[in-house]
Amino acid sequence: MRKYLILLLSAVSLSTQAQNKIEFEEYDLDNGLHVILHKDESAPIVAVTVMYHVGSKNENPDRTGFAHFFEHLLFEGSKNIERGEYDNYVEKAGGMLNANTSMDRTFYYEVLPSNQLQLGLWLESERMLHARVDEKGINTQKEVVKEEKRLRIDNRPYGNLVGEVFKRAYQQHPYKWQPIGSMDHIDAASEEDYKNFYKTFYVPNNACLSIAGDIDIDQAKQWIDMYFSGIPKGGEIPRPTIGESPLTREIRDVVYDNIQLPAVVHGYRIPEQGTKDYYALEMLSKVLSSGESSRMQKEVVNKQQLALVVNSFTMGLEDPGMLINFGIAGYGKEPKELEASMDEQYEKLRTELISERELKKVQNMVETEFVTGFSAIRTRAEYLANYYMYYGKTNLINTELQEYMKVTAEDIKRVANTYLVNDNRVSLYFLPKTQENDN
Amino acid sequence: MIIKNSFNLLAIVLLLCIGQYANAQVDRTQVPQAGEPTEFKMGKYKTFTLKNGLQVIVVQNTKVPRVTFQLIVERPPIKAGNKAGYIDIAGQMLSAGTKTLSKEKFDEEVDFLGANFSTSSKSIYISGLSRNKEDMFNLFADAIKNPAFPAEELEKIKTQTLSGIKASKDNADAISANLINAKVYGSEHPYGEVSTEETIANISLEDCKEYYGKYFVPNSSYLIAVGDISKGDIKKLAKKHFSNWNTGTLPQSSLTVPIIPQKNEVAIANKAGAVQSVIKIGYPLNYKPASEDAARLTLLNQVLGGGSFSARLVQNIREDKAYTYSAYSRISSDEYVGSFVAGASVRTEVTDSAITEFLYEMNRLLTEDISDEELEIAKNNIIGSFARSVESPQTVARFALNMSRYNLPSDYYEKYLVTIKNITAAELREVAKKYIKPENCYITVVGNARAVGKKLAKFGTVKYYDNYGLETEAPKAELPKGLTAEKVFENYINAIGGREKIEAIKTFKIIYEAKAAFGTIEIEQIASNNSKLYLLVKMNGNPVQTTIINGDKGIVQAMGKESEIPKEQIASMKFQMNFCEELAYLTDKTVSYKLIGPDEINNKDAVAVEVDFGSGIKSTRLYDLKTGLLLGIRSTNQGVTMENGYADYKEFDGILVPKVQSNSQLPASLNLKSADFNIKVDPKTFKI
Repeated sequence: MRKYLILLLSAVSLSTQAQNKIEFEEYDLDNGLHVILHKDESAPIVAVTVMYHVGSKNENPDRTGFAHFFEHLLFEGSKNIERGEYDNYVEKAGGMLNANTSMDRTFYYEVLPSNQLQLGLWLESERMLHARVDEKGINTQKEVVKEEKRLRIDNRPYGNLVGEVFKRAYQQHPYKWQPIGSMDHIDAASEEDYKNFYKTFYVPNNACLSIAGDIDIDQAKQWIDMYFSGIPKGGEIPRPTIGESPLTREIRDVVYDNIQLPAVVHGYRIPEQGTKDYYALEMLSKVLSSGESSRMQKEVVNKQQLALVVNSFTMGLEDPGMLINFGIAGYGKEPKELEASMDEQYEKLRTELISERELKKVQNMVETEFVTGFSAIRTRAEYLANYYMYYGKTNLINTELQEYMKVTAEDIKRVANTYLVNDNRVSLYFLPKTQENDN
Repeated sequence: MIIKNSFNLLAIVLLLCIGQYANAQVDRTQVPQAGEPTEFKMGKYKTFTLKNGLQVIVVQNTKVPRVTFQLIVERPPIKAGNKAGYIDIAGQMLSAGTKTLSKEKFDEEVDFLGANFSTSSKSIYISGLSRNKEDMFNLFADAIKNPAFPAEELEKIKTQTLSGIKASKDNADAISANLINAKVYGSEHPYGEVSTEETIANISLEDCKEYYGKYFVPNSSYLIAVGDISKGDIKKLAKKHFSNWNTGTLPQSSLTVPIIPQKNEVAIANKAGAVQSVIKIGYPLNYKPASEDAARLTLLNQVLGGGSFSARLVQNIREDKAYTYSAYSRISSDEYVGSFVAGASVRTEVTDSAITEFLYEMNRLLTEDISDEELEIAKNNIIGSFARSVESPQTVARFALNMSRYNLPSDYYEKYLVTIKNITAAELREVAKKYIKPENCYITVVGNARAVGKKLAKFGTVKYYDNYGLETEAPKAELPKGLTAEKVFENYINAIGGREKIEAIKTFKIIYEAKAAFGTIEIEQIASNNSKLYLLVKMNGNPVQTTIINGDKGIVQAMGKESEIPKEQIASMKFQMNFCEELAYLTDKTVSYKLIGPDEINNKDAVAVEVDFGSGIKSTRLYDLKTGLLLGIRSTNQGVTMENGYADYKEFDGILVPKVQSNSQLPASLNLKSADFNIKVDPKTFKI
C-alpha cells in the first residue's frame, strides 16, 4: 500500500559549517502525501505539522483573503470532531496548536507531548479527509478575521506598509493583494466556494506532513499509514501562471495613515527565493540594516539621526517577490532628507564593492541565523517542509547556508545594479493623516 | 532526560499496530489514547558564586552550537519622578561604547562575530556562535565593567526617545500600557510612571552614571550562561573578567502602596481614527512570586484566559461572540506589587458588550465550580506547556534563576506540577474569592472615546486620560473641515425650511406652555415684518409680563408698572422679531459672530457659535452637528448662566419649529401649543 522512498542521505561533510546536521527521512504515500520525519530526543515533545501548498496567490481575484479565512475554518471540526473540540483535544493532551497563511502556503501545527503523536496524526488526518464547518462557525470566523485585520493592519501604525507596496508593484500577479484580503470578498463567500477550495487544495498530493521530535520512526510510519493512506488523492493542483512584467519606471505615491512620524518606503521587485540573485539580495539587505554597524543603521539612524528606525528585508516568495527598505523619520525630519540619505546608501552599493571584512561579517550573521533558527523542533519541522515544498530538496536545511556563503562582493554589487535601481521600485511616503488636506 | 519504555513493551505496541495496519481499516470515531507518559524532568543546570558575590548559573546544551551570556541585575523598583525614563535610558547607554571601544567600534566587533548584543536597565545580553565565545565574553564583560557614557550618545538616545514618544501617540497598545499602569499602580509608584517629553528632557548624563554606579554591582547580580558551554569554560571566563569587579551596597527605596478601587472605574484614552478599542481591565494584587497560592492562581488564570483557545475569555468573546481576534487574562506575581489584567482589542461598536463579558467571566469564577472537563484541560495545558518550555535551555536558566532568587527547594518545579494535578474546583473557587475582583476594577479603554464613552458609564464613573495616563477633559467632536459661523447659520436656515420659505414669513404667532407644580405658564410670541415684537407671559391664564418692541423702542409691563428697555438690551432682543434670527445676523451689521468650536448639549454633538450684540451682551448658540438644527442658547447675565434648549422639531407649513423648549430657570419644559404663520395681526398689538 505504501511506497517507501526513503532517501538515505549521504552525509555531506561541511567542515566550515558550525551547524549540526539535521537528520531526517522522507517518503511519499500512494496518494501523493509527502512525509518527512525528524527524530530529536532532546525534549519529550513532538511537532506534528502539515503544510498545504496553497496561499493567497491561489485565490480568485474576487475572493481575496479566502485562503487565510479557510485556515480559520479548518479549526472548526470534522466529521468526527464537533465544533470547538479540535482545540480541546490538543489542549487536554497538554499540547498547543495554531496555523498561519502566507501568499504561498498554509501551515498547521500541533506541538504535543511525545506520547500523543497518534492524536496529532488523527487530528491532522481528520482535517485533511473530511473537515466540517457549520453556519455558526462560518459567521463567527468572518467576524474574527475582520477583528484580526483591524488588529494587525487598520489599528496599527504603518500596519499596511507591505500591502501598500505590493498593490502598486504588481499589476497582474495575485501577490498584488495580501493574505488578509478583502472583507467584502470574505462576506461574499458561498458554500460552493468552500467546497471547491477544500476539494482542490486540501488534498494529500498538495500537502507535506512534517514531524519532528521525540518519536519512534517505525511507530510513526505505522500510524501515518493508518490515518493518511486512505485519504483519496486529489486532482491536478492549479497554480497561477501569471507572469508580471518588470517595472520600467519608478512608481511614486503618498499614503496617509494614522501616524505621527512620516515614513519612506522603497520596494524593489526581485527574483524568487532560492535563486542565486535572491541569496545575493538577502546578503545585500543585511549589509544595509542587520546590526548596529550596518550601513543604514550607522549612517541614517546613528550618525545623521534622520530616522528613528530603518529596516531592509526581503520578502522571499515562490514567484518573484520584493526587497523592501523603509525608514521612519525622526521627529521634525523631512521624508525628503531621509530618502536622500537612504538613496546615498544604495548608490554606494551600486558603485563600490563591499570590503572583505564586511562580507565576512554578513556571512557570520547568516550562519548565526541558521543555527538559531533551527533550535526549536517546531521550526525544524516547518523548515523541512518549506525546503521540500518550494525546492523539492528537503536537505537544503543542511546545505542552504552554503548558497549564502557563495555570494561574493561582486555579486552584491551586481544585484545592486540590477535590482536596487529607481526604475525598479515603488517609492512611498507615509504621511500623517493630519497633513492630508494641506497637500 | 527521557525515560524510555522498556524494549519489550515497545515491541508489543508495535505488534498491535501492525495488526491494525493489516486490517487497513481505521476507526476514525475513536480518539487515539495517549501512550506511556514521559516523566517531566527539568533540564540540568549548575551554579557557583565568585568571591565578590556574583552568582553564576550555567545550563549546558549542545543541540546547536550557540551560546548566550546574560547579566541580570536585581534591584528594587526606583521612582524616577520628573525624570521618568532615565532608568531605561541608562540601560541603553550601556550599549553606547566602552572606555576603550567607541560605540561604532563596539557595534562593529559584535556584528562581525554575527552576535546579538543588547542592554537594558536590568540586563546585558550577548548571544552567538559558541566558537566565538571568548571574543563575545570579552565584549560582554567590557560593556558591564567599563561603560563610557559619552555625552553625544545620550543626546542621540534622548532625541530618539522623544521621536518614539511622538510615534506612540498613534499606537493604541502603547497608550493602553501607559493607561493601565498609571491606573493599577498609580502614577506615584515606579510601575505606574510614564515618560513624557518633559521628563525625558530632564535626564542628564549624571543620572545615568549614578544609576549604573549604584545598581551594577556583582553582589546583587547573576551571570547566566546557556548553550554550548561547560561549567569549566564559564568559570574560567567569569574569574578572568569579574574577579576584580568591586562589590557595592544596594540602596533601598520606599514605595507607595497601590490602591484597589472601591468600585469599578472607567478610564478612557482617546485615539483619533481608532477602529478598535484596546480594553484592559485590572487592579493591583498582593501576590508574591512562589507564594502558596501560586499554583492555584496559575490554574485559575489558565481557565479564565491563560493563553489557550479553550480558555473562557477566548471561547466567549472570540468563538461565541466574535468580538475579537484574541482575549486574555494575566495574574502576575511580583515581589513588590502584583496585578490582575485581562484584555482584548475589540471593534468599537462592541466595546461595552465585550466589557460586560469580561466581568461576567470574572464573576463566574466566584459563583460556579469549574467543571471536571475544563479543569482537566487547564491542568494538562499547564503541564504540557511546561514540558514544551523546557525544550529551550533559556527556560531552564529562568527556572534556576527563580529558585535562587526566591530560595526555592531544588524540586520546586517538579512538585509544582504535582500540586497542579491535585487542585480541586472547590479550592479554585476559594482562591478566586481572594483574588478575582469584578467589582473593584480599573476598566481602561483606548479607542474612539466619543463613540464608546457614554456607553461605558454603566460600569462606573468615567474619566478621560491623555496618552500618558494623566487625567484630561472628555474629547469633543471633530468639526467638518472648513466649517465657519456663516456656514453653521446657512446649515440651520436650510435645515428649518430654507431661505425662501423663511423670507416669506411676514407675521407669526407661536405659543408655548409649561405645566409646573405652581401652575401653568404660557408664553406667546407675535412678530410682524421683522420689525415688531410682542411677548406675553401668562400665569394660570393671567398676564404677568408683556414686552413690546417696535422699531428701536421697547417697553416691559409687569405688575402694573411699565418701564423702558435700555438701548443696549434692545440690540439683542430685537432679533426675536425675526422668525429666524440667523438670517438677520447674516445681514445686520450691528452684530458680530464667530465659530467657537465643538461642544455638546443634551448628549448631542454640537458646534458653538458666539454672537456678540455689542455693549458686552453675548450669547452662545449651539447647533446640532448632524442635523444643523439649533439645540440651545447659552447666555450669561450678571454672572448667571442661562441655558435654553430646543428639541423635537416639527414641521408647520414646511417650516420646522421645536416642539419642546427648556429653560434652566424654569422647573418644567415648555411645549409648543400652536405655531401660525402669516396671520393677520392687529397693529395695536405693538403699540407702545
